[in-house]
Amino acid sequence: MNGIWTRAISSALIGGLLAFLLVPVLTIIPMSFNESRYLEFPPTQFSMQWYEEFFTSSAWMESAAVSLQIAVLTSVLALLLGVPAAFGIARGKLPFETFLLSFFALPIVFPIVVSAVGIYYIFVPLKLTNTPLGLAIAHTMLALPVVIFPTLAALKRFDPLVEWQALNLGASRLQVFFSITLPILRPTFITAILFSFITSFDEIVFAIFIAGGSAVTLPRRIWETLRFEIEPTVTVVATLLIVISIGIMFVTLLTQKNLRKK
Amino acid sequence: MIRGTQTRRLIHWLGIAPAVLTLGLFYVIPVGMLLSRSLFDPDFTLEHYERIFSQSVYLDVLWITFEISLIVTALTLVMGYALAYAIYRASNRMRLVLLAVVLFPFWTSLIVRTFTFIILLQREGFVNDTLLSLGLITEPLQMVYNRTGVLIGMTYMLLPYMVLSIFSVLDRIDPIYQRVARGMGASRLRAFASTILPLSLPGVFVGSSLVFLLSLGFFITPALLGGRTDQMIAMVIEDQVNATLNWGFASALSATLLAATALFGGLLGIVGWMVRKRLNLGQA
Repeated sequence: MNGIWTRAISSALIGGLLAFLLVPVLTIIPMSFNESRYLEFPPTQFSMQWYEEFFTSSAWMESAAVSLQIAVLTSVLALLLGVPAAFGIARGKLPFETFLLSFFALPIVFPIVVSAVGIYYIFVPLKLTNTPLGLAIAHTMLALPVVIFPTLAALKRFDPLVEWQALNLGASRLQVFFSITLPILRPTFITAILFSFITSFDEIVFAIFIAGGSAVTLPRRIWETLRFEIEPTVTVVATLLIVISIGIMFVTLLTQKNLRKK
Repeated sequence: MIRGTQTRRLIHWLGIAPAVLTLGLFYVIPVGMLLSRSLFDPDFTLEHYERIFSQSVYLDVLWITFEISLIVTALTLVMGYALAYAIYRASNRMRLVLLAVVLFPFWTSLIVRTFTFIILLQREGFVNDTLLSLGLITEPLQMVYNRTGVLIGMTYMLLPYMVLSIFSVLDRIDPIYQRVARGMGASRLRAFASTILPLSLPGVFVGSSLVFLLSLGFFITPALLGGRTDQMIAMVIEDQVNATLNWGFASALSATLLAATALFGGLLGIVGWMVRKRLNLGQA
């Protein structure tokens, strides 16, 4: 008797907590299709007008372009800097490996506001404030750990035997890298690129401090809209961000699954 | 061609160098410069720190930051432990689903998550509407632009960290202990309290520390969901940088935040180490 009641109550509680985790994000999506000028849930009338508003608004489209530009740049930079670093650490058996790892973990553990202010501080004389390049560099700092640590983990699991055999058979180091190492690490690289992309695309704090003027990203524009005058178009932007983020997560998961099933 | 050890070393260093240089140049050094600005503006001065610790406005902000972080930690602990335990007891397949749900907030931008709460918690929002129609309240509750909103929002943001910390420890606990205790006649509660609970404490500790330290630096959530009495230190820093352009003061505030984080982090680390030694738990 006792058992059934406790089970029912605990299931209800857990269900409640799960709803708490899912609902906030899920409610935004139907809201973006709401006709009303006021932000209300549940939505009353179906309308695509706010989508129209978003796609025809030069301000929002410009922000979308800026976000995209910066995210792509970030992914490329993070990959170019992070992958060689991961290789260097994994293969190098260096003396102060732990120190290096802590160093590369700094962007994650440090209070982001402090980092944002610090970077802004140095960007002013470098004239990198309010530029897409500046924000991309800042985002790359955040994305570096996201590239380095998974690549490092993958390299630790990597059996160098395959590479040695290829070398023995006469392949040059370059050939080995491109035809053996790279394909094996491809899922990891895909994950790294996608995670860097999303880190930059969704990022808000650096965008508030470092960018402005013409380099306003989507999250930053949402922030300003919320601060000053809320418009329903924000739900459209939010929905798009959600869809993109979740989409990327799924793609990442799929590429991993492919590897395991073989 | 087998390269000599020297050359191989060099190549590895070359690989690491760009990342280290960039991170150092655009991250570590700037923060260092910023922090030194708090004391040298440009000449040595303690006025910024004096201002923080003498004016009640700023002392209040520090206290509010601390208070909110503490409450959020407590809330996430209660909810997080329940979720982590539910995941622990779930079947393998359910575990994947539950973990995906718990990680779900991470998959979306911070600002999007915060913004959804504004909509849900507002006076004419969904939560109030539901409560009113169910007859549980007679007037809409004020749940946003005040402390309640901040607490709800921050708990939401930090819950996944707590759940994962606790679950990662729970996952390593063999369910046999609990079963044995039940088999020996213990009630469900007693079995849990004497087997799972003590063994899960390291996770509780790590999770709580993590959530607390992260909350100290929160800025977006309290800025959007809070009222005038919910100013956290990161918000003041933002204001000083973007509105007032007072670098010296902003950096002093940043240094204070950093020091508080390091201080609490260090204290928690020491406490954790001491507790582990006393309880004789094997893991490092």
